[in-house]
Amino acid sequence: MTETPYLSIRSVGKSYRGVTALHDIDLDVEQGAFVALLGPSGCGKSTLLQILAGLLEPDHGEVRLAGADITRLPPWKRNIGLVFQNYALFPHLSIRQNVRFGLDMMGMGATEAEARVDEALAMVGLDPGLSRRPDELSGGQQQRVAIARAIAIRPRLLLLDEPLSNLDAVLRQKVRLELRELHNRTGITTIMVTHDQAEALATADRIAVMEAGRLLQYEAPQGLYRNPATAFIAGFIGNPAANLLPVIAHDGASWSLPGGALWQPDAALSPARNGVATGAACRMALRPETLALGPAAPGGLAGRIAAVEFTGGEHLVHVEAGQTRLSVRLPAGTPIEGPDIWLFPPKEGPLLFDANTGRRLPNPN
Amino acid sequence: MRTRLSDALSLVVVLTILLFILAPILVLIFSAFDGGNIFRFPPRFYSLRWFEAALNHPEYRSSLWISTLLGVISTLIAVTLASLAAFGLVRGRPRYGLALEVLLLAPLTLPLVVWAIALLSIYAELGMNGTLPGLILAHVTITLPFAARIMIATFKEIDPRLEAAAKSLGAPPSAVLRRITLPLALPGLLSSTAIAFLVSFNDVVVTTLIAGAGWITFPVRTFSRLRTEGIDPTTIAIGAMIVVFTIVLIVVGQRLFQLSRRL
Repeated sequence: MTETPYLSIRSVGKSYRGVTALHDIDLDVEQGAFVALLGPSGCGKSTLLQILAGLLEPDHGEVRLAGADITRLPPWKRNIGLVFQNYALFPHLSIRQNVRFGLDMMGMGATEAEARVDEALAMVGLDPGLSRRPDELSGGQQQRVAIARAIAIRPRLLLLDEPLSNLDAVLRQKVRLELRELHNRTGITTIMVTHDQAEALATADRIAVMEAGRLLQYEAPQGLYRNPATAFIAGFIGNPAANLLPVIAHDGASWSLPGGALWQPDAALSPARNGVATGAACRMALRPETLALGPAAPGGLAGRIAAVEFTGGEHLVHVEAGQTRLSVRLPAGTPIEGPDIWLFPPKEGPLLFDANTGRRLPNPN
Repeated sequence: MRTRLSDALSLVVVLTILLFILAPILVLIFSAFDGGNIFRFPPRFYSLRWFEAALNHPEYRSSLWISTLLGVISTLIAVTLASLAAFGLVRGRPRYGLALEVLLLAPLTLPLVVWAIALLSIYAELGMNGTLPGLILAHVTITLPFAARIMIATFKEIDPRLEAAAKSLGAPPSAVLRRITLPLALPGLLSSTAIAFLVSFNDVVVTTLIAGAGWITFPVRTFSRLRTEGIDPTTIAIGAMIVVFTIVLIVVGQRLFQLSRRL
């Protein structure tokens, strides 16, 4: 028996005045999952969210929720909770009235509705006795009210549009943990739109990376980190993200680097072993935490230390190698001898991408 | 030191301007209580005889009634039309929205006399001169741009995401309008109603040309008596009553408005 996914998006596309915002998106979400739609602004993630909420109708394609086609269902019949970036609290209503709004729309009786309001406010950690107006609350509190309002209706799906980007850096870390904990407690299937990869990695079960209206990769955070499908993802995920070294296959054993220097790496990293024809241009992703520094030795890349940042638990070393700059993360206390230094990539499974298409080259093994 | 001096200076300037604006109103109110037969300031002795005369004067009474009736009906029509047009322009974002908006506000740029003469010849063709529907229609057209301006600004200030959030919480469009859009547009609705009524109530130019003898509004009556008999103390008393009535309305409105925000 094949299980049908809880939410399924099938070849959904949308254009605005001739500009394609979404190209045939396919995406399945399991019940109870926390999915992040991740991408830079203008990648189409917000358009997709609005289609899920019913605020936009796709040009083509189908959205199914719990087995039913909801593509053309108006938003007020969907029972999908929506939290906006600016919270969109009703300014003329009190906080309790805001949270109660959806329950009133269901025609729920006063006693039951009041109990649900208490429950939703407690769920987000707000005092149920709060009798103030939305504009008298801090940004963080307003966001809690917006979340309480959305979960009070016990939605089939919770949509979060950049929930953290209006908060300051300290609060952001705290709230993203709370979002994850709230999801663990309620089990509501959640889709969060964000442009912040750290936010997506920290909260989501699966991340859908989008760029220019296309879905590039849909995977669990670790998988995405370990096996990025394109150079764009490799250069986007992680803090700091992978170094992307432009290389051209000089012959079967060595690469030429920008500026013309030759690099003969360990055999596992050679063009021949990775099936790269002589003369082909690639980009090699080197994760900052997998690079080692040391004295001259075979397989190394010659470089020069430009700067060292101390971040508490570790050092972030910026190395100039030829005409590119690579960052290296080392545990605090590692002795760093400079300024001339050699860089050593790990000796297996390089991440190589086609320089033109950005696509990952298949690993030989 | 310097800021102190400039603060004092700007206070003096502000007070002078305020005095300049408000002085005629003060003169009006004081003179209304004068017991003499002609307009003077300051009054020699005080009496309420002109108030009594104003309230008993049949022509003024009928003119005030006509002005009020005309103002209320044309304001209701103008504000309703303006709100619908503004909502459509702001939320619907039609293809030629900007052109429509400019067209809607265009009557503001035309001198009323020119406009009234054009209207007069159209009305003559239609046989509508001197009729109440014709007068109401004319007043709707002169008040509509003011109401539309305010309502366009009002709807532009309401975040469409509030309406989207309400929809996602299960509110169909009628409930969104009743529970979200209208309450948020209420201050705009009230001020456009007030402005439209005042524009209608104040108008002399268009009304003089269109109304004929049957529908003489208060400002037209006052103006014509001014021309024939000079300043009539009765009009001063009526003016004073209108000023007091307006002030009471503003104070009450402000109180209510503040109150509604606190609730």
